[in-house]
Amino acid sequence: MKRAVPLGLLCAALTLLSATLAGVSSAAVSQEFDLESGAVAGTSDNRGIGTARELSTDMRYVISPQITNDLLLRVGAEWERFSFAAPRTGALPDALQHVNAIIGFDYQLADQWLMRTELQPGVYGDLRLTGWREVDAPLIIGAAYLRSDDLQWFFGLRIDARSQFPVLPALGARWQVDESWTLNLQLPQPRLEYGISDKHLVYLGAGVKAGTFTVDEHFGNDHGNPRLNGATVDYAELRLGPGWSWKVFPTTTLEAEAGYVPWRTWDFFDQGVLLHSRPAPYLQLGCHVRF
Amino acid sequence: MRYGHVCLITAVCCTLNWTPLARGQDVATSLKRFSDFPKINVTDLLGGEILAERGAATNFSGGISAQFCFAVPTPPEETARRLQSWDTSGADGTNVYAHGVVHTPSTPDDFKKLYLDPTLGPTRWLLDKTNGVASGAPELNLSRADAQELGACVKKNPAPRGSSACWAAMLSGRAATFQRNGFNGVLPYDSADAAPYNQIDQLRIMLREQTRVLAELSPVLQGAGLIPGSGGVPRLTPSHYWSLFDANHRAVVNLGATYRLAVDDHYQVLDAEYYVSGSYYAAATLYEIWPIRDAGGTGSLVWRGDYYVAPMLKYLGGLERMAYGAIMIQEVKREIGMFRNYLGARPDRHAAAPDLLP
Repeated sequence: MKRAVPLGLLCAALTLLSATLAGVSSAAVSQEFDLESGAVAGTSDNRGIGTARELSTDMRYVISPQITNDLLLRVGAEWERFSFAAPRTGALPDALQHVNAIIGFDYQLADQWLMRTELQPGVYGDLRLTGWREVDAPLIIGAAYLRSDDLQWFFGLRIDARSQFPVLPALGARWQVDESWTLNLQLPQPRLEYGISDKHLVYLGAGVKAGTFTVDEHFGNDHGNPRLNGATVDYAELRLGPGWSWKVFPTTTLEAEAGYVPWRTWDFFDQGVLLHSRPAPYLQLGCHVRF
Repeated sequence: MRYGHVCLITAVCCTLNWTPLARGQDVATSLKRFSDFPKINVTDLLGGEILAERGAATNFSGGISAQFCFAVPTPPEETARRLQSWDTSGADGTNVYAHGVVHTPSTPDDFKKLYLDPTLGPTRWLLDKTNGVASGAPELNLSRADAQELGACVKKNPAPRGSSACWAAMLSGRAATFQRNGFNGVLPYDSADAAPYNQIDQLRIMLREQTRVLAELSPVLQGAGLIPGSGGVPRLTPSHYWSLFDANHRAVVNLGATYRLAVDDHYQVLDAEYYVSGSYYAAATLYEIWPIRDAGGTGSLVWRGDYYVAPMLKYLGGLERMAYGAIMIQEVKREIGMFRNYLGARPDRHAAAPDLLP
């Protein structure tokens, strides 16, 4: 919650910037900025590592100039950080974060097919920069089949050579049932949405946050398990809860959601160490700007 | 001398033999010159293919456009005439609930088929928004005068039948103004928190950015009065219409006018929606129709350009805009398919290679 004020200020500044730029930009260049900040509460349950308190922030900017009528370039950057604290930390890292570039393209393959490819080269670890071990470059490939204006299908693939699951497929769909209801089953945030008006929307949804990180060379020594020095950890969490989305300006959407995190794991799969957190409530705020 | 005659006769014969092809090349060359289609295969078009191309991004970001090219089995004059008189409400798979001709001068009787059925989701939405006008919170495209007239009427007649009659009266008034004053007399849309939005001016700005299309279709655009200048074209008399249709689960009523102009051996048609109650602000659909010989008969090669003014598109970029354009192309292709069905049988999929008529 401490991050709520900077989040609000940053969002306000970007909204102002977007309102200024909207007047001079054209359809040939689009920009997107996403900022999300959330907190997962701790509880008194001390089994295992108990419930890890968490603060997370994800900031992402992408500029997308049009190269041809069917091809858009995507260039940008992202920073995401999870910081954790638990009653008994064990092998729990204090923080996992990544800073990466985004290089990719959107392409219209055929009348009804669109595709997106994003390479996300960067540093994935705790950013102590102990060497090249933390450098990774996950690849995201997605395709959309536009069946109609009411129904679209999505196919995705996440390729990360460092992960325990180097290739992860995904399937999704968006179905606008009627004027108010939309079943928006797109990973990582599948939702059932209800439009109250053109500006307000409520939803019941899930959120998946995941990543593969490399901890530093002394991490194991500091946490009583030398095997974990420089180990690779797959982090994943699932969030479930209702949310509210408000289109403040045509360019800017604010979101707030709260709910439960029923499942969180830190899997040092190459060393056979797996940590689970107990379920806990969460709160998340977001700001999405498109111009 | 004899050799000279032979050469001359051969040259004349060749010229005569190749005249149709030369004209055909003229049509293809002309199409390539102003359209977004670098390659046109008339045989494929006669086989049922519909060429489609999303409009390139321009400085005018508050709109979207696309171009199409297809063939139909009717001659250009008939194709143009039937485009003008097409009632889409009867077609299979249509999203048009009702369509009607607006006579000159317009009266509310022209809109007697307009009924906002409260049992259908999209029309119920429009009824709700119409009641919102009466409570002073309009979410529809209305001028201040429209809002006052519609709001006062709906207050007295809140039932679906009464609200439909209120719309009929308002639309009739707008149509009558258009019949008197043309595009320059169309009332802009007012909103509580922004300057009035002149949809016709925005449509003109959008069309001006399509320089090649504008140069090719200027006769019908000038004849209609949508762009300035006469270019030797007399003022065209339009056919007026209204329709009630579903746009993304919301019912929309519109007013439009279609113009037809014969230019040499081909036709130009303009279908302009100068009033739209929601979803977008205005639209123009342009057609150029050439004669082609199709399996012994005379058919038409049709170029179509669709131009929609929708300010919310200004904020839609990247892949979302691309998806919007792709879905628009699907919708128009479906409409072209319905038009072909309306005209009769589809072109023979195995038609012989075409001759393009002189």
